[in-house]
Amino acid sequence: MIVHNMKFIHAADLHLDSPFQGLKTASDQLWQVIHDSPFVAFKRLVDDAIRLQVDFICLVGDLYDQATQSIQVQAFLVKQFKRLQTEKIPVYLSYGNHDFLAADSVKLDFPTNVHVFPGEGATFNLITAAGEKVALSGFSYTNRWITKDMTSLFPIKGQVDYQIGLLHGSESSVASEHDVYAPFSISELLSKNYDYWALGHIHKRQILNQDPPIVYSGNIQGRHKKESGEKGYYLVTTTTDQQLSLEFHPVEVIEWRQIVVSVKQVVRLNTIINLIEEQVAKLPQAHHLLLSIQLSDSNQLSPALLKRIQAGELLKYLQQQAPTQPYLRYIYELKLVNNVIPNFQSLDAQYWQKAAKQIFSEKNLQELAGPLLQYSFLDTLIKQADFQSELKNDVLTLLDEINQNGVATDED
Amino acid sequence: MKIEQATIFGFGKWHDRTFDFKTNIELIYGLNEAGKSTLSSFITGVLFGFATKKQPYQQYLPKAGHSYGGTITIATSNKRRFVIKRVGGKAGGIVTVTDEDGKVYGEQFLTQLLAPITPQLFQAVFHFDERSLNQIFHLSKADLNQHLLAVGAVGSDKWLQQADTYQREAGKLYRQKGRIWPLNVALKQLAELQKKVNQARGAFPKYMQLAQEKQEKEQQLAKLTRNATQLSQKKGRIERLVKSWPDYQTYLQLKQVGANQSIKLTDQDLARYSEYKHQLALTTADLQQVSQKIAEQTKSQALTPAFQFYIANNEIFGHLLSQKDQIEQLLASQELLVNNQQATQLEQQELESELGIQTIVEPLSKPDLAVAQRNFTEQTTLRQQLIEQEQLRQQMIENNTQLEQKVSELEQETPESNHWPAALGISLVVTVIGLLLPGGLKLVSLVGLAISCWFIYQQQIQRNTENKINTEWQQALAQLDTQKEQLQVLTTKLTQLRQRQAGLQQIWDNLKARYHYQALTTNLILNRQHDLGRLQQLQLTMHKITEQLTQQQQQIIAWLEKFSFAQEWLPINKQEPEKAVKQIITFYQEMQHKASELGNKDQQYTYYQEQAARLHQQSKDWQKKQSDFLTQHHLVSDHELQKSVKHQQLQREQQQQFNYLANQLGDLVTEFKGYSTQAQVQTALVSVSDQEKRLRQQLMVLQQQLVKLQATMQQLVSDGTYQDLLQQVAQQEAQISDLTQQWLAKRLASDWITATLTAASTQRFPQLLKLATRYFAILTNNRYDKISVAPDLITVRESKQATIFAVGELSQGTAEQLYVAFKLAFAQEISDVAKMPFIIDDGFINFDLPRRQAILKLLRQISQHNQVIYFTANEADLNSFAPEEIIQLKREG
Repeated sequence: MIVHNMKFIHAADLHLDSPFQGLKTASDQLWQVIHDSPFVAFKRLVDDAIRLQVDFICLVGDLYDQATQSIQVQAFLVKQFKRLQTEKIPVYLSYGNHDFLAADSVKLDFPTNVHVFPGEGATFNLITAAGEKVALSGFSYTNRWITKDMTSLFPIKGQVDYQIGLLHGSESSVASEHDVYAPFSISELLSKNYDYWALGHIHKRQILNQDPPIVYSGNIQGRHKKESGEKGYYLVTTTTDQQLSLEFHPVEVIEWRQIVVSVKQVVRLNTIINLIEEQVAKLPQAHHLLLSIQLSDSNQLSPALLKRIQAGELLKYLQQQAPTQPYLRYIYELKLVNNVIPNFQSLDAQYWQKAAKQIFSEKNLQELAGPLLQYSFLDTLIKQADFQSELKNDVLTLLDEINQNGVATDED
Repeated sequence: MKIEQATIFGFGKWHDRTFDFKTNIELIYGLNEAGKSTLSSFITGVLFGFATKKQPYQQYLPKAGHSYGGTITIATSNKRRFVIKRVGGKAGGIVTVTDEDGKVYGEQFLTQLLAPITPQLFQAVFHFDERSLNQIFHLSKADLNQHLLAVGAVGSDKWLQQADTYQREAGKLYRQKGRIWPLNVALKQLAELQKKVNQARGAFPKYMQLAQEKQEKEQQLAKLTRNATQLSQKKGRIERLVKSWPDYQTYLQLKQVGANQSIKLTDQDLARYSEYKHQLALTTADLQQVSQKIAEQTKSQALTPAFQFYIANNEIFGHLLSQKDQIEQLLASQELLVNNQQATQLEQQELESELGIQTIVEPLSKPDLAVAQRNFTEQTTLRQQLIEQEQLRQQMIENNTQLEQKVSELEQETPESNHWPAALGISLVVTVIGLLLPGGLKLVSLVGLAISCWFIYQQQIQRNTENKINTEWQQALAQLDTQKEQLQVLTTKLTQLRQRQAGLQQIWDNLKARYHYQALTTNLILNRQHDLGRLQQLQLTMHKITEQLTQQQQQIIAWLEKFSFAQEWLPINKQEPEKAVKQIITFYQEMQHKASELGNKDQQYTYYQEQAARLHQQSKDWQKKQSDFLTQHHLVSDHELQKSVKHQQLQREQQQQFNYLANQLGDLVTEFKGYSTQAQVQTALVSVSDQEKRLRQQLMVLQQQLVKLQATMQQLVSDGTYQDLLQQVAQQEAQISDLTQQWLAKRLASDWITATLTAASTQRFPQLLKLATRYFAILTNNRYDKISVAPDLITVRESKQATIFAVGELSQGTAEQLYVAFKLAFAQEISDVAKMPFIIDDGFINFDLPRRQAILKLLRQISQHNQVIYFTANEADLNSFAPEEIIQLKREG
């Protein structure tokens, strides 16, 4: 009896040329790390592929951004693919919505071990080192959007030991903003009788179905605070009973993290610093960290302290600390969490609530922002619920200041 | 709030004076300069701050050195009591607030205490004076709203301040049309960054273009490299050509020599030839030996060299002398022939001299002889006739002319008769001499005899002719006279005769010419034909003899010639054959004699002789073989053969060299053919070198370009600028997002406050308007029943006619009343929030009596919730107040 041990890597959304978002300042050392991080992450993946001698690699779209047209990225990919070619490891690549195969795309030629799925879909066959027949089906985006359900392009599993589908898209049940990206339903995928569905597009790692696995590997390097947590690829291997086992391998260079530090009953800035440093020290020493620190219970801080924090004194201090070794821990933001509606004295709370509805409406925000909305990133930002609630938090903190001041006067 | 007491330390005219305000409405009466306004100013000054130096007339600094300021005791709505003390100092004076417990507070506390009433609001709402009432003409809805907002809720002033602060702070972050504000600056920086990003984006197409260029250049490089290799090979070959040129020249020369190679002597040939030579040498050596032996044998006899020669050529001599008799006969025959020749010659000479001819001519043929004889006869006859006729005619002419007397015997042609005897004598002498001559020469005498006889005969004929002419002349003379007339006839006949004679003469001449007889006399021709024939015969005989002689002589000389080999020992003169022959014979005989003497002396000698002969023969054989060999190989001599052998050796060496060179040069030979001179090859080399140099130059340039291209491409690939820029953009966007967030937070905070206050105060405005309408109606005794407030315009309605009037259309008094109505209404409306005392400083001077009473009535109503302090100089007003409500101020001095 043949011992089956097919081994492959599933990764997606490399976004090699996308910058890190939401960072205002960083040390030169950190910038370098940030700049290199997606490349290093992918290099690690390739290193692993060679070390583990995988049978093949599935890259399910969004390797880079078509719009940026970066020669550095293209050259880098060619170089890495050539390393794999030397090791005779084929790469199955389907382009996604960011690196779609436009008619006028200018791309460097990839080596012959890279099999690119065409827009109309295709199935590639290979035989693993152990002799298993594997079929890989997939398609590439030829446009920025695909509103159509593309599952019809995938044939029913053929006469092979394993069939794998590569699909860059979103499940139709998820939020509407993603339904322009090859929407699919799990039941449709299951109907194909495939052994594994390698999904791309959603940057958050998730397993939509256990058996057969329908998997988003997530991206390999987080690029903003929302892409927090460990990032990497799935190493998929066959067990003796022909079952597929998934093993997550982190490759990211920098992880985005949020930590909450309570400042309850704290009266000195030093205490806050100590609390933060204590928490940071507890974090795992696996890679560089970009940290967002939320100071909870900040409404209990004295107005003077609050003002110093708000003025950025604390953040500046933390950022100016000597870089930690070997991994950097960079605090990129410090948030005061304040959800307590301040005491508005005689003013009837109903007036505040009534006014808030109008003031914090998206319409009012847009009107207020006016010409700023011509900047798409601001437009996007303002539309985000997160941002809106954050903004409200900021406003409340501001207003609370008045309250606090009022109280303070009394105490003086 | 109620003002209960005012104590003035020093303020204007007042000092160390206390006023108590016991009732809710207080009338403070005084004439002009009684200090009403000073007191009014003191109250507002203590509450809201004294006037600054900018308004010196409002400051009311005390004149008499009293300390500036004073206190006001107030009671709040929650029944707390505070003493506000304000003394001179910066910015409105130094203020302290002391509560009932003696606790002292600062200015801030005072502000809070008075809140939401600000100095401005106090002035606008609670303070009345003539000047301020005029403000009604400028009042707008916004002002009202503003005032309402300010007092709309408890603490709203503070909120408004804060809102304003946020607004200002927001303005310091971003302004829509601003440039210097952080967010504006950040946006501008973003735009610049984007521009850079767009520029950096060009790297990709540039890279592709460079890649294309690189490919083309690489192809070009490959091509040029191939060309260079070819050229380099070509150069190498041409260099070899240059180097090998001398060799090639040698090669060509040798090739030429090889082609001319003719004689081919094989080694065998040479061996054979050398054998011949060897044999010849051996034979010669043997012969010498034998000759030596013979010499030894003959030593005793002292053989002369001549004899030795003879011995050596014994045979030749023998052979030649076997023809001795023949030669001797020839000699004898020759002698005879010479005699014969001499005789013939003599006869010929004699005959020739007899005939007087130098050259021998042919005799006439028989017919021609007959013709000649006939011609001669006829001519003779004709001549005779002519002479006769001429004579006759002459005679006749003479006869006729000289009267016939002169007749003479005309010239008688006498031949030279005296010659005849001499000739005859000579011929006779010849005859005698001829007889004396030997043999055949005796014929001469015969000729002489014949000639003598002819002479005699001729003399006889001559004599006969003379006689005949004389007779005829005599007859003619006789006839002359008579035949005078016949002269003419005669002349004619004479002419005829002459013509005929000419014809004959012609024939004669022709004949002579034909036989070359021009030099011969007619007589000789006609009579000596026989002699002519004889002469011809003699000539023929002479020829034969001479021929024979020559032939024999040649035979003899030929024989003599054969002895030339013995010239040394037998010198003969071939010009004297007889003598020579005799000499030879004598020599031979002598030698034979000697030989026979010597001969047979010794057997040994004979043997040696034979040996010598044999060896001699052998030697000759070898010599022949040798010479045959040379002839066969077209060689003239041994020397030539040696030369040829040497030559052949040389040729062989050259051939070897040629082969070596051919091998050495190999395929270069064909290439050499393209060049005729070394200079050409060198030129070609220079040209190729130049080409190569140029090509190398091109290659170098190309390689440099490639390296540069590669570097540029590598630079493009490794250039992190683009990525950095993208990151910078992200960073800038983060910055902008943050600033936007800050800005929005401030703006929203500000807006939210305003919105909340607006919401809180929206109910107050209608209430205010209602109250104001009511008060206005009261003040105007119901003349106006409605007030409308538009954003920019306030109108009132006259109740009876329902006429609408704008504020500007109202009388001064009515307008002031409207304002008062608003103020009172406002104070009433906000009384839930703040209750301030009204300070009315002679405010109603433009009011007529009824309206004045109406306002006072109204003030009394108002005073139920708001303290009213009314300053007036109008004495009539005193009637409207109770005495305890009145404070009278007296003018001092």
